[in-house]
Amino acid sequence: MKTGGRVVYELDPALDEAALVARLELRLGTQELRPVERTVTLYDTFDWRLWRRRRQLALATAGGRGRSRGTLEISDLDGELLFRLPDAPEPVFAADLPPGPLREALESPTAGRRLLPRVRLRCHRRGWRLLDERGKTLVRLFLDRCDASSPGHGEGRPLPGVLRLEPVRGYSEARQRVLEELEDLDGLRLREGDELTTALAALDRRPGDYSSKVELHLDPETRADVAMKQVHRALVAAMRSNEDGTRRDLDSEFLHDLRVAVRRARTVLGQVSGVFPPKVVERFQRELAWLGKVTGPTRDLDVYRIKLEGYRRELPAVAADLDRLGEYLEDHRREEQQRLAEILDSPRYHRFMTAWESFLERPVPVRTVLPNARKPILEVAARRIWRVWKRVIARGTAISPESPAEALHEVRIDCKKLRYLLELFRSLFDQEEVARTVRALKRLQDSLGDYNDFEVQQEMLQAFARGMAEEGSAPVSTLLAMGRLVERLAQAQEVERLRFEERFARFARAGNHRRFKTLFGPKAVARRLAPVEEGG
Amino acid sequence: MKVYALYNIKGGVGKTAGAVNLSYLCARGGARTLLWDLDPQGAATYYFRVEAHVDGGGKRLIRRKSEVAELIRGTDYEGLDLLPADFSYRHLDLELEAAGKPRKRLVRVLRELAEDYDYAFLDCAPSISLASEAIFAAADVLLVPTIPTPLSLRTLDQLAVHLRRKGPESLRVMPFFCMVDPRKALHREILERAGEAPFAFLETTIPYSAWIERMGVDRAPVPVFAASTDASRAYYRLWLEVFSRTAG
Repeated sequence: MKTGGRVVYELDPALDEAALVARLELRLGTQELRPVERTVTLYDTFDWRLWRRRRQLALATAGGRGRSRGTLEISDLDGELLFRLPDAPEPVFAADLPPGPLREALESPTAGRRLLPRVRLRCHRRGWRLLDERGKTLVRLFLDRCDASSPGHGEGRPLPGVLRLEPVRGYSEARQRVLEELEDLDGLRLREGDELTTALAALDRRPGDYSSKVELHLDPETRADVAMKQVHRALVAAMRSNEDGTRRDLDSEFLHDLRVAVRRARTVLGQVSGVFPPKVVERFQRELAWLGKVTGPTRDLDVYRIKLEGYRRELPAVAADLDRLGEYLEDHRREEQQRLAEILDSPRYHRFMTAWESFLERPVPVRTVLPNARKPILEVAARRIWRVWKRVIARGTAISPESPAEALHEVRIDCKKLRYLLELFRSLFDQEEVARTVRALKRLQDSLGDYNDFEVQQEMLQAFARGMAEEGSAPVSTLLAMGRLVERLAQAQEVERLRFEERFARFARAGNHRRFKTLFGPKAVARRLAPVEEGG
Repeated sequence: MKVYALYNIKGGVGKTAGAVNLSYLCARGGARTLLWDLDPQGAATYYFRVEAHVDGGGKRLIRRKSEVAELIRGTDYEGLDLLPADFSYRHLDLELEAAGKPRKRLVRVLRELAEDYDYAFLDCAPSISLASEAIFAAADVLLVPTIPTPLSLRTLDQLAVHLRRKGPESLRVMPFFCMVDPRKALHREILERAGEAPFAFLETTIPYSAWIERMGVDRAPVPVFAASTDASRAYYRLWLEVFSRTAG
């Protein structure tokens, strides 16, 4: 529905409301509607996927308490309505909403993430409508005075009053008349910024405060130990951000992001050596490895839950036989999730996290015998990236059709290390060039990842089949269907294996080599670190 | 976009009341809905308090010389827009013929609006003519309000014959009884003979009701000003039945 042309004004606290109402009622001749109390809850995913795409999702319910059902609206950040759904429940996952354009508008941007209430507005609303001689509504106006609060807790903080002009399609002249009437009214100005940002600002928060991408701004000249603490602080913050959602099992991405932060930390801790004392490295490596291991089973089952849908589509003939596997996965996932929540509340986890955080907060020693600690981070990072790149090329080139699966596995692990190093240190280099190397690397990784994935899936299906057989709960048809899946996965893996050489050759070509050399090669780095010659 | 046409060869059978109330209920459920008033008398337009005038008249609209989107008016109800009637529609047959490819004309106009709306309701003028053929081509479902009289059933037979020759195969025809007065023996008798009709009747019937006549006074859909009446409930049941049989 193209209505278009909504206007939102912000009211100055000094605005004389009586003067505004006089303009609306006496000069424009609008008719006042019955005032209402309403509660508006704004929703977004944990990583602000809607707001980043300039979308806002609001559930408006009647009354001050906030009933659970109301009108759900998705609009753009300028306040223009896109789709609405009356008598809607509180949104949780886009996929659970009734089918229709609103659900479609939410499904792709949220991509399976849970919609969380981000801010709640309790509003007193006065309304007016401008009518023509037939009694037809031409324009609606609403004056909202709202308090903003964090959903579930916290006191309300008053927001500036807002006047909304909602035109009716086909009556642009009336809209214009209202705009002109309000134009020179003191204390009324067009609102800058969107509703979500304004409401969160009243609570000293802002949207976009979490992203699964770690944003770092490193100074190339900084001591490596200082810079590495900065990197690890960002990673530990990412872990902390996802703790609560993982514990409460809000959606599967919390655990995923938490695990990515753990893996990144573990990789750079191992890769960038000689900056922290060996004992420290050893201890935290051990704890990060533990954390990676104990969070694994739940993640594997999450992945499998997603994969199962794909299998059903691929093998429709046996889709029904896989139901029992689905139930088996759900049962085990529940158990694993509970175990995971216990781990996040365990003394070991708390000891590790607090010790790690306090180490990262502590200033670095002035004097140190560690070989890399005082070197500029640029030098240390580039040397490491350059070395891992050379290793990827050497190992990848050595692979032939006869090579064992382990050889591919090693290249895959090296690629992963290279990827993490590139991503975490990209602010030290020409960011666009680094982005190009990451894209090239990603293509190779996708292929290697698929290859590995097919293998892991086969192993897991076999493990599930054994488990189900032991429990004695699986009908033979389910086990047979799983057997067929294993066969298909083995074939797909073989296909991916045959593609490796070609994919690798594309990655190892001269252009990429030049790019890596210019960015990370010893000469390039030495040039950047050399003192600038005067008069040159 | 799903297109429902309220259509009957006969006049005065409740087409406009059906179009107004069903489109209102459809929009109230959250769907983006358009009501196109194709009847030159402009009753639907009147009920929504919109001026019955299309700039340039039916001729321009049919030839797509004016941007159809600019002619649309928002009603007083969230989600429901109206393409108002124009008196020049009484020449619609002539206009369609003059424009060439008459059957495709309405389809084209509706296609332009397909992105903006989930449902469109066409309130059609009574007749069998070139304009009705254009309507048959544009609609997915023909909703045929029928008064329970022998003559009305005969017009269904005529419609069936006509559609067999000129109607697209995909068009679904769903008659429903309206202005039903259960005190009249004739009405009861005809309702029982519904199975003899060439199309299956919808189960919901719309009663004869003074509230439906009052639409012209209150100038609003029945559920707006008489929510808890039998007439309002009947339209709601009718919409649920139509929706469940045709949506998706």
